[in-house]
Amino acid sequence: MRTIVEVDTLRKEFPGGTVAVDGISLGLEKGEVVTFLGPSGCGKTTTLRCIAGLEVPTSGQVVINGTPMFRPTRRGLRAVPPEERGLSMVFQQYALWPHMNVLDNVGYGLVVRKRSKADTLAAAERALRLVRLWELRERRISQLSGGQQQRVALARALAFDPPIVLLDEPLSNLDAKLREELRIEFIELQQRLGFAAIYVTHDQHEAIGLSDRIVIMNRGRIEQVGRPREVWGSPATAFVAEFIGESNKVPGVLVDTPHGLGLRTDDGPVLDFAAPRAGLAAGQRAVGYVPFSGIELAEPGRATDPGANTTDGTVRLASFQGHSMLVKVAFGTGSLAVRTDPHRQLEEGQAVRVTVPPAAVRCFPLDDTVADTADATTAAGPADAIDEVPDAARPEVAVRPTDQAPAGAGAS
Amino acid sequence: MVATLPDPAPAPPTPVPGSGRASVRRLQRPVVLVTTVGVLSLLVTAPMVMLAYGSLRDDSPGMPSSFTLANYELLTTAYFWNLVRTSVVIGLGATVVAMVIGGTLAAIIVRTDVPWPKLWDGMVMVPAYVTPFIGAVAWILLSSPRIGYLNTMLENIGLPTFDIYSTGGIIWVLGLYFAPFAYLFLRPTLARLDRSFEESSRVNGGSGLQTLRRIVVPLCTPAVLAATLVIFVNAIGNFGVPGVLGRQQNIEVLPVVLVRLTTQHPTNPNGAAVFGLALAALTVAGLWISNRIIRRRDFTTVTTQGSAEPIRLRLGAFRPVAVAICAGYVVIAVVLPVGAMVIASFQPYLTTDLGAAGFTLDNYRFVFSYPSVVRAITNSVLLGLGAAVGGSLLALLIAYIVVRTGWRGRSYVDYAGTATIAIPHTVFGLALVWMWISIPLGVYATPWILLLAYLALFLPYAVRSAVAGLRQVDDSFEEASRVLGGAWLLTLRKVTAPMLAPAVLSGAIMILYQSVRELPASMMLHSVGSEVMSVVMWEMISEGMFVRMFALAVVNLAIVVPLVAIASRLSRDTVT
Repeated sequence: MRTIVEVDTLRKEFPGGTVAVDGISLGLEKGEVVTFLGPSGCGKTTTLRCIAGLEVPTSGQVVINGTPMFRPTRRGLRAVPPEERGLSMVFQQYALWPHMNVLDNVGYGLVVRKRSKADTLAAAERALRLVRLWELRERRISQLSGGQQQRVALARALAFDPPIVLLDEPLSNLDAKLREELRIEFIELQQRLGFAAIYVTHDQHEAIGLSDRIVIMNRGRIEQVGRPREVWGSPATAFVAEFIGESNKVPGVLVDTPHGLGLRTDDGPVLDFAAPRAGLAAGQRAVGYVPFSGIELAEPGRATDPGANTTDGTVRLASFQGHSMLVKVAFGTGSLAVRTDPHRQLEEGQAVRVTVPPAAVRCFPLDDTVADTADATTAAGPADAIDEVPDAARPEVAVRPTDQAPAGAGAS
Repeated sequence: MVATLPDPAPAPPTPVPGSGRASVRRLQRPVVLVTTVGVLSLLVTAPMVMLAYGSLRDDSPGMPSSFTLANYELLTTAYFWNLVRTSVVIGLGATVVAMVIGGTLAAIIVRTDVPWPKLWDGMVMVPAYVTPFIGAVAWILLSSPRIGYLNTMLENIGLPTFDIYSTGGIIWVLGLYFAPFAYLFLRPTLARLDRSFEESSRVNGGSGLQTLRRIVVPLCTPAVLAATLVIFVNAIGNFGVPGVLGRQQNIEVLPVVLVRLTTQHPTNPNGAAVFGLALAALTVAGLWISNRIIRRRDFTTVTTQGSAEPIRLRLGAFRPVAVAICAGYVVIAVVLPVGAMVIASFQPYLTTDLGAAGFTLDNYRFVFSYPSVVRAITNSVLLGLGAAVGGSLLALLIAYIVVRTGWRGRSYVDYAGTATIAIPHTVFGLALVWMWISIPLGVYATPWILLLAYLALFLPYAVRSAVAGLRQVDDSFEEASRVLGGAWLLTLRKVTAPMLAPAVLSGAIMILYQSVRELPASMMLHSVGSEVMSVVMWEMISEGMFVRMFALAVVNLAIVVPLVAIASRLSRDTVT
């Protein structure tokens, strides 16, 4: 493995003082797919455009294949122009040229490299066959559907065999089903051709499904870099915990318990969590994240894992969603959203035992980042399905009953 | 934090096309941009500066002279103020006539269910292709006091006759021949006006007329002002029509005096410079007023991109009236004058008594055999095409600078590229005389100076069109080309220019026909060897060779109309 794109403390400030990118550093290795994931305005597209040479950063450096792309001068950075970087890019709106047909669009990268007519045609044919559009090569761009245009854009970006391909939300203009199909097509193409790619998206499923590594960005900074399983399983910050997957958000105060640190939730009960991270201390306000799918539901009174947080509650809502069932369980003053097996027989009013393994709970100090992004991120998640139902407030919670527990037996 | 450790040994850079000449290619953009600014300065700014310089010298260009303010004493004479008054009356009068005619036609053709809108659309533009003074001469045939066809007819049925040799006559002919400009400016705005504005007004209870008054008219204001300004500048700067029709009653306007002071002995180019600056001051005042009106109100989102058909008013019983208005204009401005012109071009001498003289082809034989006339035809066509090609290339670069760069010199380029729209042709012609006599590079008294004049005078039309076109092309089309390996100039050639082709081509068409019909500046700049059709026709009239002039006018029309038709077809075909 070797690094072919290296971004070093990149910073971009727009006139008017908006800081779009605030000190981003990362590396892209040969053949690797890295996604920039984050909400709109997080700086992911600006970073990509700085790498492409379409935007000049305020400070910082981008090194492509060992060559620095920016040179400081008295009047700011001077950039190596995009055409000399040897990159390729797929644009959000495709940017296919309407005055050329499909074949001419795809062959462009070779024509401007002054390859022979035969070479150009051969390469364009190969690229178009890869995306199964060779038959439409004579068509005008306006005669293609959205999905076809997207594939032509991809073929155009790949035809001249670039080592690095940049993709700026390439699937965001397509409907969900098509998006899924093209995502798989992209993965297959990437594995076959072996190019390195930086893929910008705001869709976590896309990011998780196709990347080797995910860079999660927020407000111009990197929150976490990791393999999809890492970011999914062990979010490094509250923002990531909130942005990735779907979790119940449980605010409270940290307290000392016999098992170490626990979170006394605002609803009363104390939630044990495993592996408290550095920087957390009793008396501090904090927020816990409990993934919908990390919660177990069982018959009331059933014996459970002694280390787990357990309480008894009532099913408030059970919504069948195809691959899974989304259940809202209420107990005391709180409630929790749970994603479970769709074949289970759960009905409203049914009593259940709720178990939260401490390992599933992530706890972070409460800072303003979380408070700010809370609405935007959770609202996009499947929790919507619950919110649509009357009487179902955002799942907020608490679990392990302690001395003042309203109900249930406190197995600890 | 660096997420991965960089490889200690940097890999060899991926070969980039032509990387050896990379540093040269990076100069493309600055070189082209600086060149554009240089060309524009030489073309537009320098001549106007030279004109101001000339107004402050005490002798002709090319002569040793010294600084003086004496020329400006002309501005204190009653003669000058009489000229100003007549010029303004004629300029404003013609503008009103043209706007009323052009506006009415545009409203009928674009926004009602009048039959054969395509036919009217094509016919209404025909008067724009001939120089207005030919219209003036044709109208002499129709409406000279005693012998005009029309007046004879009116006399026979006992109606009062209309004397074309009058201020009213001049206003009428100018208005008639500038009406196509009003039509040209108003048509796209009326056609693209977002129908939801109107629909919401109608839904909210506004009647048709109220909708027109409260919604349509205000939204059209920018186009109306632009048309008004262009017509006013052209009408007040027009030389041919008052030259032909004003002579009998000694009606003098600034452009006529300007041409006389420059071309007839004893010449007074210094006094002419003062008159020229005064005339330019009048038109720049017009520009200033219209800019103020536009800036005072917010006119954004006037039109939509959608290709939705505009609402067409159902005329019902009034359809024949609408047809009569369209047909009336076509008859008065096209059929009658062109008819009179064609008939006269086959006559041995000018007469309205068709039976008396018989018909002959001699006039056409003369036109196609007399060397200076043949040269004029070739020159006009070549200069028109040259100005159209050069002007549209320059307009493309100017549009790129204005729309796509964040350059500090951008507003200068924008201003210089559109300034001549407010400068009367006679004034600019005089400015070129001053400049190219003072700079003895052999440009003066060659066809090149005419090319410079046409380029500068009609560039604004192409720039307007190209800027509007480029604003609608998303940046990402060019960015895609750059990232995929196309250098700046290549991208401009392969992506920007072809995508702008329809807009640039329609600008080129305007340059073409306006160049071919241009008279006032050509009057000052032509010389032996660089004759053009409009000037030769003018000289034929001055020498009383009316029938030959009409033959040449017919030839002129027969060249321009097909050229414009081909170019328009091309422009439509390139639209994707």
